[in-house]
Amino acid sequence: MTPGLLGGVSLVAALILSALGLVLAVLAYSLRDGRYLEAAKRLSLLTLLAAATSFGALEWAILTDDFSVSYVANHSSASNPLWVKLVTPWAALEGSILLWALLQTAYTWLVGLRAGQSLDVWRAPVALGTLFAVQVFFFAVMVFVAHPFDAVPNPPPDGLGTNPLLQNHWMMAVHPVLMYLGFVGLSVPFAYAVAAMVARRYQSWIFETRWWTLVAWGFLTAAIFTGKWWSYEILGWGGYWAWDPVENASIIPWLLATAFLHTAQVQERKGLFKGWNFAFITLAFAATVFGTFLTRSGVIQSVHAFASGPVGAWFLVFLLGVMAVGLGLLARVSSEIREAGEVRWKSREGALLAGALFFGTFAFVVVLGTLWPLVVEVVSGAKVSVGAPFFNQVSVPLGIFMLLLMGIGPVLPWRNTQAEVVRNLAAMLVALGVGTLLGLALGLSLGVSLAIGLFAYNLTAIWLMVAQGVRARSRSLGIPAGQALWELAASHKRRFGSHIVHFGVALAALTIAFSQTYRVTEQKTLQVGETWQTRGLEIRLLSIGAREESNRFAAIAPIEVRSTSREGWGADGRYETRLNFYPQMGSPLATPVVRYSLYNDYYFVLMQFDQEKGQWATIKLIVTPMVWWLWVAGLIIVLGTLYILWPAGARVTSRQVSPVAGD
Amino acid sequence: MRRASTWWLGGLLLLALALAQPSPNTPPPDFSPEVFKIAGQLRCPVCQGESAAESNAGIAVEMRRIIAEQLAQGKSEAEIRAFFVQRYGDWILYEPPVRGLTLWVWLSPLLGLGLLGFGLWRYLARVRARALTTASDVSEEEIARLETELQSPERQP
Repeated sequence: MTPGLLGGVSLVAALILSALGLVLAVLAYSLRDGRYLEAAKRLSLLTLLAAATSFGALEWAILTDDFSVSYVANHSSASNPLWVKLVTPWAALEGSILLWALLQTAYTWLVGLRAGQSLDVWRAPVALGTLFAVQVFFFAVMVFVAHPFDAVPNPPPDGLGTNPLLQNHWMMAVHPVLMYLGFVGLSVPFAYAVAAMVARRYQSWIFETRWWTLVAWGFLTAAIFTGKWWSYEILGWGGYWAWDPVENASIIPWLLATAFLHTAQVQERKGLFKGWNFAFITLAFAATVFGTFLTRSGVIQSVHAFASGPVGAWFLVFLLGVMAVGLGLLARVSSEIREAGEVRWKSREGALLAGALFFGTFAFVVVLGTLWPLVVEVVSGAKVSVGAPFFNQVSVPLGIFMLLLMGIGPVLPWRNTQAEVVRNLAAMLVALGVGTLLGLALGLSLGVSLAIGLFAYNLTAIWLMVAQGVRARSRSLGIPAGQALWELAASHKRRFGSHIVHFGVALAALTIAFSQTYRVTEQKTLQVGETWQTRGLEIRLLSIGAREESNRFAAIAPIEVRSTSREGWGADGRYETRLNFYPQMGSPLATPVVRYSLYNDYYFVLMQFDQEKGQWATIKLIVTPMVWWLWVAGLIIVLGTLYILWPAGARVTSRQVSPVAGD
Repeated sequence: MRRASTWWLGGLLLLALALAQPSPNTPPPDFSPEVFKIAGQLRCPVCQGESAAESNAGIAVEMRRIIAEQLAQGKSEAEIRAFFVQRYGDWILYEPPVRGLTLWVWLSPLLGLGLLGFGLWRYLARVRARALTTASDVSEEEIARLETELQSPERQP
């Protein structure tokens, strides 16, 4: 048994089992027979095992340097370090689809486990069937057009090696997996939505998918932040977000999932907005496929674009299929969806809907901006670029509105507003004004000052909400404030978790404003021993040398940095700037040295050096404020999400929707 | 044997270093922050989704050099941008011009907000109308569900 054979056989097995599962689910639904459903659930475990076997076979082939397997020959090398070999399965197209399919089978299995408790016999087969259908697609792609285990007739002595960009930072082991966990996670609420529309129960699915959506959203958020980190620490351009088509492809599902998270709450509490939620979750899941289509089809060239080929067309068909199923069902049932009651704009649901409006608009802008160069080329033949300068300008007003709403939403009650709320809003507006004026007084730009104001405003909102809750509780029960806070945080996990997440978002917005406005890049050629004085720093080039490592060569130019004024605070130290040369790449990779401090980040890149005498080296210096805090913000957002999801000791039942809601 | 292989690797290293340098062995000029600011708005013509400020491709390095030269000649940012547009067309600008077909991109936030807002308004109006007329009826949905439930399916164990 060779890994190639094992992998190929288990892929075909997974495809057949998924198709069988789909058939069983259809039978269970049409014959209304629970036994078929039971069989489908059991099959989901078998598909998971088949997919895991296939993935294991790929790892096995990579670890044993089996170059008779095409994927290993094309994307691995015997000289790679162990950790690179372990992450190689998702370093290229075929392997990443296999990882995606493996995670999909795991999610399907988990849904099958839970389906008995939460789904009735009408909806469970539809939800499972939807997930099996998604699996059929992914395994079919691998079996027919992107086969990782194709045999190589004459195995080469060594493979072509892994993309060096992926070998440069351990984040690459984490970021793709998180991304796929998020993407695939969105298939679950989508499947529940399809089931809800087929079985015509329009309300209860929102409760059942609450956790699923939040899990997927948490993974997506973590993935986007780790991607930013990788971009910042590896690509050596000093930024973390380039509005490159693939980054856009990852932010579109995130924006739509965020919108859905918020409008789902309106449906939970009020039984409103059901039709829109079906549309939002369909579009969010479709956006994950759209992103994959963009990356895998080569339609739009980007840093991330993997091989082109027939795979793109398959994904396009799948994307259209997802949209047709979700929106087609919605069109069929929309006339009978009954909404409970009315929207009161001056209450929390109003703020949530307005927020969803902005998230939806943002997603629309990103989709349009990403695709527009294609449209223009098709229509007029002209080539245009829509890049970072455009997106940065457009995000500012949208971001301001979202941050304003983020503060208002939690402060407004579900019922109509009262005097206390007006007082709270007044306090928040004062914070906004004071923060903005403080920024202007410090001589900062208007945009950054406004960001400070909005940060203060959101901080005030969170503080008021927590403080008032704690005060009310400690008074009514006669307990100290600390105990009241502790009990509230334990009993209102969702509320407190969302405060934590919102704080993280406000902090992230602040750091983005600072870092995008005040990033400075300079470049200078230094002789060995020469000192460069700039931006409150003294940078001295110590020497130039070379080093050999297992999978690369490196040219190394150590520098000594001293800060001479407050502007360069925290940069002191000795740093090894380096250029890495990978045998499979024509040009060297400049890996920056990043020095974080509490305010500025210092970023040193070796651009070029004297290769004849070792006399000079060209150093690029990038100084960016507050990027370190962006990573902190990302961590806070993920921790807040975890806090909400953390199983409570005692299940706190939230108030149910009024019975008018239809369930 | 070992010595030979190290020597061979050393030779390979030098070869790799020589091949890898994008330009001959002359130090590149020093660049002020303005150079990178302008280069960041221009596309690197041969790269995939990288600006002329980020990319280390030969042509991007050359573009930075040109920008630095023109700045030294006292040209303004707009003039330098115009110079590159003349050479490569509007495609070289990452910020699409506010005219013709790319005007729509700039209008997209308003378009999106308008479309979604209009949809939301229509939807809520429909909800209100329906809430007034069918408040006390039994909905089709409920009837359909009763029908399916009357078929008494097999309950799960």
